[in-house]
Amino acid sequence: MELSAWQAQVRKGAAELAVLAVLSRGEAYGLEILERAKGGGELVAEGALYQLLNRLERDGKLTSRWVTNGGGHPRKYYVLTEEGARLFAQMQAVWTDFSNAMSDLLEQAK
Amino acid sequence: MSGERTSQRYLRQFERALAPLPPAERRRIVEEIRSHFEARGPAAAESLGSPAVLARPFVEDYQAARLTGLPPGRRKLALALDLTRNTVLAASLGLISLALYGLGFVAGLIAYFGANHPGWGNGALWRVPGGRFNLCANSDAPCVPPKVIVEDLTAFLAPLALAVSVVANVVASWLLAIVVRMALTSPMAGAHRLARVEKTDAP
Repeated sequence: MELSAWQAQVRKGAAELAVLAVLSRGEAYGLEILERAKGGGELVAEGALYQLLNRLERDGKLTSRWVTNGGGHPRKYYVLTEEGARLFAQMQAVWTDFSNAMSDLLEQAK
Repeated sequence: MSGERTSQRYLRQFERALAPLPPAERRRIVEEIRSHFEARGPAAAESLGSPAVLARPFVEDYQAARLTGLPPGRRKLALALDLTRNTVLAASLGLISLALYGLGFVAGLIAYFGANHPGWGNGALWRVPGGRFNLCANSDAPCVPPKVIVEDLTAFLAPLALAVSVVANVVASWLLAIVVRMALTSPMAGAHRLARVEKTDAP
């Protein structure tokens, strides 16, 4: 498998956790989620974000509301539901275990 | 202005690509992408990917969610109905496309003969008393009109037939391309959708 294809797979798998992590810090709209997620590298592809938000909302993990600030553009803000927060906590624990196990393995391979 | 046009064109194509979704859901998704364009500018068109690529996962999610809501035994039936509907639609478009090719061919023949046989199709269009029109197929015929509208049908028949032929062929080719795309992608998309739903259900 080419490195870029593998990287895309890793990013795809982690995108949901990245979005939930950003929203665990408070509500945010699409572009804001992207920018916050980019703080730690490009974790979420721009083209994949809205489909992911749409799916999480349909599955009851997020709720949203449209906000218009003065004459500005209307923005759709997302916030975690209780179910979403629970999922985030579970995913966080799984990711931490996975990350530790992988780090140990890579450490031994040095 | 050009950036605005790019955004509008992108959003129109995106909305068309979301056609399988219910209108309310489609509008909601398009509005969010519009809001992204307003915040990000026309550069969003490049970073979001093509409208078709951006729309595909929304459509797949929607179709998979519809199948997930059904008992496993009825999923294949629902999928078969979807495929049948697509096949009937593709066949209908194919027939229209063939008819248009036929029309294009006939119009092409008329254009050819009209241009190469000056006597052929030579006729006259007269307005007869009472406001009606009368076609005299041969200008030598004893047709004495009160007022001449067009003296020689050939003068406009050939270019008109040529234009009809070109338009019919272009539209027919466009429809045929849609039919081929549907025929190639529909069964694969259906199988992919079913596999995806069954994978989600697996323990």
